[in-house]
Amino acid sequence: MFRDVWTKTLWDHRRSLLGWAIGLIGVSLVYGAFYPYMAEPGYADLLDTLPEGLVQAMGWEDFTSAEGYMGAAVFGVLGQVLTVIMAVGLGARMIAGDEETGGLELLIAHPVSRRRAVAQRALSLLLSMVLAGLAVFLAVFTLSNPIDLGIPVGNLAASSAQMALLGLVFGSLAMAVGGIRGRRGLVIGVTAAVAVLAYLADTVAPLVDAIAWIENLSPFDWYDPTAILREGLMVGDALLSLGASAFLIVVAVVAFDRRDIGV
Amino acid sequence: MADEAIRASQLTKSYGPVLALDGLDLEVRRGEIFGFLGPNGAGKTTAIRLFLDLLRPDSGRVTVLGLDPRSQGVELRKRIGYLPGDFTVEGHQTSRQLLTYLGNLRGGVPMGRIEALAERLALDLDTKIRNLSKGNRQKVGLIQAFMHEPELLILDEPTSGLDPLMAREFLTLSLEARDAGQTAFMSSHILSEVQQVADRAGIIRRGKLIAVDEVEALRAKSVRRVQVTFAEPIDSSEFAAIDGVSDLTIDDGVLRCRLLGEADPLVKAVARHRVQDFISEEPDLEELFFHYYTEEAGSVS
Repeated sequence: MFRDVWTKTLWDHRRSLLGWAIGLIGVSLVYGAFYPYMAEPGYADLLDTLPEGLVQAMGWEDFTSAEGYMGAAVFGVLGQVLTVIMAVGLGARMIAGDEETGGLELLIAHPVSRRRAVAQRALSLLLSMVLAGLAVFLAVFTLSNPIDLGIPVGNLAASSAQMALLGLVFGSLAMAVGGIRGRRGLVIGVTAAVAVLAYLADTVAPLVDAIAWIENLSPFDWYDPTAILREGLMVGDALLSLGASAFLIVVAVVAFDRRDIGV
Repeated sequence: MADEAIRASQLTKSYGPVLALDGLDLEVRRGEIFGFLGPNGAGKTTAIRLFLDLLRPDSGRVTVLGLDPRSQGVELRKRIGYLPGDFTVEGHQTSRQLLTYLGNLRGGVPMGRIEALAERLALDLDTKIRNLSKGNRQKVGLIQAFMHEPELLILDEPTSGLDPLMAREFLTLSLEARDAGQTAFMSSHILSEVQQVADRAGIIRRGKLIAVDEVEALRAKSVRRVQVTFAEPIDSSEFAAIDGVSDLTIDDGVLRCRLLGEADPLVKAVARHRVQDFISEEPDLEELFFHYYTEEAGSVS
């Protein structure tokens, strides 16, 4: 635990990570457990009465199938929002938060290059998101039989992994902003604003033909849980998320290497 | 091998419109304890952070142990022990855990060395850092700076928060380090503290080095306020002519004056009477600056 920057970083965040894992497991269990009631007739009729745009925007088109329900509930809005919040919080602390409290200055004053420090912090973020994905997967997998979900295990794993990747993109964005400027408040503000815009781009833009193409730029578009639960890992989307994260980490590393620390 | 532990020339650094360092020239010799004196906001911390490559200068050059902090930073920082001016770390860990980790970043430091330092500074290594007092946290910072016996110690306000006994222990540690061949560079705004250990001191004000001098010479130029309460009426003529005494007033058996340099002549004169109280204040840095300013102005004209 005390040998490397990345292990120490995970250890320093152990409380927060444990809390998020428990939270994600809890939410997944509670929402998943509701599925059997949704599968009953009646809910489909209820959904028919709602405006089509709203249903589409919220991803409720197919609420009564296992894939549709799990994709909209556990792997949908709530799971995504929680994962993204967790990732942004962590990403903001990796550079900017630690810089504001003075811990990063001490690390950088040791024989650790700035590039290595940021790269190792990025590894901690990646592993934290693996943990988040694992937590959701384990919860849903555990429920799978009791609620008679009937979704292949591989597809559950794929959706958990891609949701974690969605978080990783925004966590990496938080690190990139932190690499440029070491203010935690600024990092969270900018990243949250981008996340909201990206979410709107994915949900609202497709409803307006002229700007529908914007959707493709949104990390939320690279994660389509219902489709993943039906067909398995979307390799192209996953690579896009991974590539965007890698690019943002490179930005973090390069920017952090060039600037003054703790000013 | 370069002769200087630190060599800075024309170092300039500003934060936006604020000029923090204004062409700093500085040489710190190997094997000496160098005191870096200046009031808060004079640019001491900025200079130190430039030496460690935490900041990059706007212009000017600095080499530390003959290395460039920017391009040879990792190699350089192996050989430095650094105490930040504001030593803060994650609180949910014990000092032992933190120091083990920081030691590992340097390739490992024997636990025995850490324990010996902790014992001398009276620090319990197994208390969570968030439960430590300000002074005890400062001790953790001192241990991490000293524990790997670095060639160069860079200490920003090292005694801040320490009680007088521990401040003394720290000064002893510094002297031992110097005797072992290490160099120590320490910033302070307290003249007497620097006088106790440093060989030389530099005085910085508003981002510029005003003077560098042997500590003995600083003592001779420092002005302190003295107040003596006598048990009997005394005559001011007795004291007015004493070397270094100025602004003398005597009021109801209480003598007040400013004293430049050595205290001996005044003390000898005072000792001829019965003294109830003798208060000698900490020499004032501003007065010292003033002295160097006027000296500089005098030599120019």
